[in-house]
Amino acid sequence: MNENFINYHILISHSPSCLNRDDMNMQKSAIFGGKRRVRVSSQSLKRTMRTSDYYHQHLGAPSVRTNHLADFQHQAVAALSDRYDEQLIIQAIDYISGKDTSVDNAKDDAVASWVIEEIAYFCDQIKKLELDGVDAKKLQKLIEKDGLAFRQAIANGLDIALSGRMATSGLMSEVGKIDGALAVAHAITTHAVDADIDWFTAVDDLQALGSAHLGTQEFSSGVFYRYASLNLKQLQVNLGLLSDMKSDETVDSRTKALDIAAHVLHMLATEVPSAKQQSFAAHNLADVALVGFSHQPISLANAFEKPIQSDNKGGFREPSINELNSYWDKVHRGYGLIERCAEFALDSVVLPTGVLTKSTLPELERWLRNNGQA
Amino acid sequence: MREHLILILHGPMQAWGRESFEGLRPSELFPGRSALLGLLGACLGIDRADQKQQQALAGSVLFAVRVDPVFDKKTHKRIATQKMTDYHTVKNAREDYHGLKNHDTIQTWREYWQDACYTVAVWNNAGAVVSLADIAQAVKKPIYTPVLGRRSCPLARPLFESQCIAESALAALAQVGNNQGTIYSEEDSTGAIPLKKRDVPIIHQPRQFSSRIVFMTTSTGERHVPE
Repeated sequence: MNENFINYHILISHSPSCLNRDDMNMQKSAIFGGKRRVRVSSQSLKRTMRTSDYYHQHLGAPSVRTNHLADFQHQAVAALSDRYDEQLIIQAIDYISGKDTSVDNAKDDAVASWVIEEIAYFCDQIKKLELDGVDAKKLQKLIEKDGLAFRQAIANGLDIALSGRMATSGLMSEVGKIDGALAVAHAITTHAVDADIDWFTAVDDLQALGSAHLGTQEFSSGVFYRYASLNLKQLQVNLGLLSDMKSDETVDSRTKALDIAAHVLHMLATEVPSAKQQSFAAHNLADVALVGFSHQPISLANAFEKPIQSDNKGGFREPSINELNSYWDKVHRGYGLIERCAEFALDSVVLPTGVLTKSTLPELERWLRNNGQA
Repeated sequence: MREHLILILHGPMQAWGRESFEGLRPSELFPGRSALLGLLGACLGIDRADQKQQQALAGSVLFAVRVDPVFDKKTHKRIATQKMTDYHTVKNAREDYHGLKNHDTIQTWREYWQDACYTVAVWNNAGAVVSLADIAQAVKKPIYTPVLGRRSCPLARPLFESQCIAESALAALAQVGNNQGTIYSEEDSTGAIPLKKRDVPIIHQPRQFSSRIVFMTTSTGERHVPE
């Protein structure tokens, strides 16, 4: 009963909005089944989750993503100065980044994710080496030997364990790379979308006639399919609960991973990107959350490869929900997939055999936390 | 006669990286050798740092990739596979661009294929260490998360399609699906056009690639019968 992957399938209907834009200020879009869909990139979804209040409340402070080393150095010194000498903190950051952060506006070439507790961990390691002389090579060896403790330090910036980190400079390029446990797909609408253009003017209060500014903004409404998969073992390895992907889970380590999995579900079902929300306020919650424990990460996007047509009463929401459930059934029969699934839907829907009904989102989260038992 | 493992790579968005610098990250027409080795390596749970296992896998398998046409299930009309360029910014990353001062984001452009599908034949060469049976088992129960070129491109169906005995990679591919579309194989065949591709990972020098020859040919099987 310990499948390695959790599949998340979320349907969320947004009223008119413009949640994610490209360099031409138009909505991001994709062609699927030969038809244009509106899209919210995975990057945008992940940042929305990472910077949400829910994340701070339940999962702690996320990592700081920056290439502005000088600024980060000030932040780290402020956060750690009661525990470590300022010089030591600066030394740690210099080793990790391979840059001299004492110069004004010190920068790294790439944006990397930084965790304050990780800096603290490096400070400890440097202290350990101080007697026989520190250098970057010795430090690296010590960290490699001490892999689990290093990962436990990273665990304080849980988003790195979830989304991974590509580190390219200094010590981090050798030891700091993390393969993310959560794979998030670009969210796309279940139906074809011809976007509308909002023509707007800005009225000048001190001018009697006409307007001070004219502009246009593309927008649309739509039912979005969000898909993500979580590799549970990878998460446990990234958190320093397991030494590597080949080692066996413990009850404790899996429980910890499942708790995070339940929070991820909550965020996928409730967090919405903030772009243009002051003008559109498309603050919508998920209509459906379908979750499963499986041996393979499989998206159900193909349920919508043929774009959903609004039914005779109008609306894409209901037919999208029906199609998702019916496609779940088809795929599982067709490939003989074994997956323990449960679904929370706002509407009363007929679920395929094999999918449990959960009447509230918290109930579905509890089921997930409970390893899909009861 | 030889055994082949047939995989199908299908999902709404896919990205098969080509030679690239940071800013623009273009997609190749089909998954290259490095991409396929990475995909199988992920399923098998081979670590990034485990060069020995990576070498063992690379030395055990050969590939042929068919770029499948995609059809609308109802009208049986062909849906064109299209390329999309995703515009992408990274915040808190102040970087100056020529002529644009105080630009406070980094911009990148990433290419994706939309409505694409690939059928891949995998076979063992002589002296293979990693067997097709092990690989088949791994794609059914992957250890790392398999994706279609990028983390944001999940699979829309299981990778595993079938295992079959056939004379050649072309013959194996002909047994699966509608067998239309261009095939890029590591095995030569009559009339095939040799192409040079720089997509062979140099395992002891990460992120560096050497060249190989792929043989491009059109499918020779039955004409497409809509399902």
